[in-house]
Amino acid sequence: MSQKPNEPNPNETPYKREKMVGWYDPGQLMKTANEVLVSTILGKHADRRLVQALNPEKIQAYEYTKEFKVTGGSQETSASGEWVNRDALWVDYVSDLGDGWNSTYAVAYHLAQDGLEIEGQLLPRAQVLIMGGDEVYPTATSDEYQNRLEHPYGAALQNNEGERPHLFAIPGNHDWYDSLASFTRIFFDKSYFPLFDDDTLADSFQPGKWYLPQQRSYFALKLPHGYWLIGVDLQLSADLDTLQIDYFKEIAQKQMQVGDQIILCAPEPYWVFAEMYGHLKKAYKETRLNRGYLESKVFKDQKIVAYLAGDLHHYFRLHEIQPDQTEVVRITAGGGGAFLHPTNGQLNDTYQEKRDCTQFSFPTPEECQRLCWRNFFFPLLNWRFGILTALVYFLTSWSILAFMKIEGNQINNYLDAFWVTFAGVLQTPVAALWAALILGGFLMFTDTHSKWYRVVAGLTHGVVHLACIFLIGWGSYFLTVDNGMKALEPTQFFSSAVIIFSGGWIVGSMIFGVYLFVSLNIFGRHSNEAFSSLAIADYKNFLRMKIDKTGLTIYPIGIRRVPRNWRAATAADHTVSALVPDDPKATPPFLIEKPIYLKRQEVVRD
Amino acid sequence: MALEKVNEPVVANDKKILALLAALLKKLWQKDTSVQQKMVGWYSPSQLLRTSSEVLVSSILGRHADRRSIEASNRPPKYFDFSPAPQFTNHHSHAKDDEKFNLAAKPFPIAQDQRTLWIDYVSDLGDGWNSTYAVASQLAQKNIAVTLPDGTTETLLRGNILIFGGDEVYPTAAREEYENRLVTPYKLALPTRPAKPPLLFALPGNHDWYDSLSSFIEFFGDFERSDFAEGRWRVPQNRSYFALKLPQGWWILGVDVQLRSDLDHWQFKYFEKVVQMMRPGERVILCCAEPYWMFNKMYKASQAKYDKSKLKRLVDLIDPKNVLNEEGETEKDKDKHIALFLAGDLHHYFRVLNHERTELSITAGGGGAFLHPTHGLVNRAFKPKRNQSKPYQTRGYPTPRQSWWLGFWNLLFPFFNLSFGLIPGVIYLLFSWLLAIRLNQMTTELPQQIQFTALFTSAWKALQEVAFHSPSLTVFMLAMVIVFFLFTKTEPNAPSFRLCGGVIHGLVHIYAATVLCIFGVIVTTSIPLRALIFFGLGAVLGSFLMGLYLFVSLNFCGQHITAAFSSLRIEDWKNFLRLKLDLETGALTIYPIGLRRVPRAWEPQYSGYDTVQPFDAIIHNHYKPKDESRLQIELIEGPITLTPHKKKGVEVSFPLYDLTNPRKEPSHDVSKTQ
Repeated sequence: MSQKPNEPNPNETPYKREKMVGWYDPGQLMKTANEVLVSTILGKHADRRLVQALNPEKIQAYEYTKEFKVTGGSQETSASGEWVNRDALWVDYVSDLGDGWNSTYAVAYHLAQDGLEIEGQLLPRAQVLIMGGDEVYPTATSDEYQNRLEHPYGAALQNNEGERPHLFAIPGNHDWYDSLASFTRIFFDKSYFPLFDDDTLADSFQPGKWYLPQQRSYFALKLPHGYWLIGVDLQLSADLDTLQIDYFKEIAQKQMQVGDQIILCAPEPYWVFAEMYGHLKKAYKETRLNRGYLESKVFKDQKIVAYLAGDLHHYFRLHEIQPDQTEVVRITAGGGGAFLHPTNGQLNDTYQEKRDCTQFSFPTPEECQRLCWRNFFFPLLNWRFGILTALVYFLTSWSILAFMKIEGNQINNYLDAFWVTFAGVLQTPVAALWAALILGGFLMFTDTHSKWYRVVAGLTHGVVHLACIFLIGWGSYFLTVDNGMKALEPTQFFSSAVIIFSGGWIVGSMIFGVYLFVSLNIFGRHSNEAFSSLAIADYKNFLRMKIDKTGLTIYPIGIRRVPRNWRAATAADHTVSALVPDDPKATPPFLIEKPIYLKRQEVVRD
Repeated sequence: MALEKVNEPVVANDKKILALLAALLKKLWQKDTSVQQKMVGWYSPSQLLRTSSEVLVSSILGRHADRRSIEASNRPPKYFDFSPAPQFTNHHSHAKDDEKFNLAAKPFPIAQDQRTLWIDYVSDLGDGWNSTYAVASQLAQKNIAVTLPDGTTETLLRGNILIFGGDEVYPTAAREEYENRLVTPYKLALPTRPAKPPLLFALPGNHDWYDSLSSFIEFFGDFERSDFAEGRWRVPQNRSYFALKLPQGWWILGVDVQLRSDLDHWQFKYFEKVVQMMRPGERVILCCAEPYWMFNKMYKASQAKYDKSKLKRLVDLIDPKNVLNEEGETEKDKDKHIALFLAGDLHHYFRVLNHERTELSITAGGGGAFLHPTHGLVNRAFKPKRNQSKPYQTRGYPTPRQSWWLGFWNLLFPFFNLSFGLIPGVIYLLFSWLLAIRLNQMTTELPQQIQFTALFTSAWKALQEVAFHSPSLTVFMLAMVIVFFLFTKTEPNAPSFRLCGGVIHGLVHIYAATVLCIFGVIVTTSIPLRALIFFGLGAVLGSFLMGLYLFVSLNFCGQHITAAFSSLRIEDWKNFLRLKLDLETGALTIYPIGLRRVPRAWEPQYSGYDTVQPFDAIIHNHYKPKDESRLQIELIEGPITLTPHKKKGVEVSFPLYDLTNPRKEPSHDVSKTQ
């Protein structure tokens, strides 16, 4: 918004356009660490899901099998009608949204249009929208929800006058970072989404909004033709709680029929995690979900045909033919707006050898391999991160230089300097402790899943940094002292401080970027850290599903490049949204792969 | 008892003196286990630690596990109806038919022959015995007599409704603290259980929230009908906020703003329903645990926060043209009207009235806690400015001038807060110790003998050298500055003051510690003796500088209104409000009652006997001040009358004297009154 205040901007709207979250910003790093710590403790000790279950409301599935058909006359003149069975129902699935405006709004915009024309097919807007987890980044607060989620979604459906879609949301770990306080307020309201502060409830019909029937953070929707959609809440990568299981048991026993087909939405692709990390850490394999608790104990007379999840912000589809000849599809589709996650690295390594299933990823592993090169620009992409390395470099060099001054050593070349420094570090406990702390810090940062990698790569990374501290520190000393300054006089002190600080800023974060690049592209590690540093807004995706008599069809829809510019919509645009794309370089939505069709399957009872 | 013996002629009796000393020591060291609690010592190191940890934990939990949302999910919402004939009209027709969101009326019909309804308001209670009990004993009297400005005496009856406005206990919420500091004084103040106990409604303040409301709920909102102080009051509320429907179109709304000065979502929905039930022309008394109108004028940050808050949305919902915050707007017909804003949190009496005499807001936090100043930012907030056409009229108790003089006590800070010295003592010791080691390695020459100017100049030189040569000491000094900077952040002081005040305060301490270090190094070479000097003198010097800083901050910059008066723990200048609602005319009269001094010594009495629980009679069930003349109530100002007015909503008048010169003390001369 660099416009002059006097000139009215034609594209000015009340909606805030947020940047992508800068995960490596030191302030953000601290906030994230703090929120994760606090919410993990509270999640363990005061699980809000228990409080939700106190709600006196009856346990009941939400019905979507029938629709209200107006009979006799047009809609304006007569409101009389009757409930008839639906022929087909469309459901949208989007996950990991609420990050930067461009990506989040691009997805919201395409979700909200009346219809999406793709490869000659018209896919209408769904009657039900499912948000599959992580509705906001970086952490859950009212302001972040409002600016990063409610604003884009409010703009997308602003002028809708047709049928009002319904919205259900399951919380992901990022929603749980305030123990679900904001999530509860926004989604359990029995009113509309999004509601802004200046909205009043008095005008009860607000067409440009989604309706929120949900009363808990998990739910069951009864879809037409014996299909069900189940959303589960796994809190902070924990597991199903007992009361949630009771809830689903009650629904399965009282309302489901034998042979019903289920679409399961989980906030994270636990099947992928079990495959990738299961051999490194047992906990990934031993959750109730991975042991098949839902399939064997709760929905034992039904069949889960599709598993959907977010948490990994890419598209990754697995298609399995199970031993009893039934088909199961498992899709990770976390493309609602958050930074792109790579599909290369360990994910690709793990599934390359698996032959019992077909798979498809978007973007392809080769593309991700290429994107990862951007980590060489780490200092530019995350310029604030350098403050941390600069501080570490500066404090370390200073304490060693001050120590040397006391000893009165005269040093003329780097080799001498190295030995003196080395001896100095060993002699003073403070310096030794400091060096150990630096090494320990890098060890802590390293990918936690593999132990050997952690030790080897972490130590290497730390030692490289220490070496650079030494080189920069002594370099600055030589530069200043050789130019006739006296050691530790104010002028020398400040000029060498400036050299070390800026050196640490640039070189320190440079090493960091190279480390991330090597880790991902060569060793397949740090898939999260090496791509969160890039904050790529492109390669977004969502799923549009159709349920009809014959079965379930999933249309995976991708956007390769999201628009960077937007303009206010005019009447000629024929759109329900407030803003439309204004970027010739942006690409239109396309089908990631050919629609996945799952025929209604027979359930074999043992 | 021990003290009486002093007056006896001194006999050469060592045993007597020894016994006296022992008694004195015992009094000093033993914890006060009697019913008579001391005022909370906010600056004692253990209390500081406890307060900060409670604040930290409760603010985290307040955000992650807000008790109010749990209450809302399983306690049916209701309001309390005091109308003579309860009406069951359907005013909330556009409400969704959903039980969870609809309000039920709980009727408390008023007897046909009752002419007046009395309401008491007291806030910030449950601190030391002297002040809390003095106020409680006046509230509990069946009637009290006050002298009006015209010289006549009026008898005021005990309230049918008692409202606790927030901060029912100090220092932090815990069951024992509630028992000892709140329930015991109130129980003893009302020795016999009344046949028809008055109703009690309580709002939680930040101090009640420091245990996430666990104890508060136990005492005030556990059941449909819980009892306070063994049945002496009845508590019908079931949530931490409430709405009372009074006769003649009056309402009392009590909002719970938790620790973040705002309503939660479900509470807002509750009040939205309440507002829908109000009819045009009705008047609201809004009780809030914080005087946000004061804070908004005092601190820029508070105003910014308030503008975005749900509290503002509620205030605007009731009273769309709320002129208290929007000066200069023309007066228009109003649908509903907030006639009176009440709050505690600042422990003084401070009344603000706008120029049109339609908006009245009163801070009355005088239930027992330490006195807050009325000078500084408090007084500046509503001071008439030069170009202001419609100035506000204010009245403080104590007056700002009296309060300014009280501020001088901070020069004796070390005596008021003995144990606080431990903190500067340790910091000074550590710093001087580290510096003393460094001094040997440095080129700075130290003076050979103690000379005032030499001491200061060499300290300055030493500091300069240290700044470049010793990373550890530099980091230490930086940490000290940061700590003192953070201290300014305990209150929403002005950002410019924070930076200047905090940094200067930190630098002064560093400089003082350096001088102390050089002094110690010159005086002695013995390490233990040096340590003793560093610690002992550091404790005294550091405490004194702290007091000086508080004195200057408050009396000259107007900042630190809490920190600078919590150090003094002044028990006097207490207050509470008594409201009289005339059921025939609908006029509401406010009697602000002040207690200029509270007694320091009490005698147990056996005046009343409890018939229900005979064993109550065994213990002292009443206390009386040793010197009755020390416990005298006065009318702070007023009485203030709020008369319903068709156009303005309400008209505020001071029928007994003129307000044209609000800065002047109101005259008690009958001839000058209107």
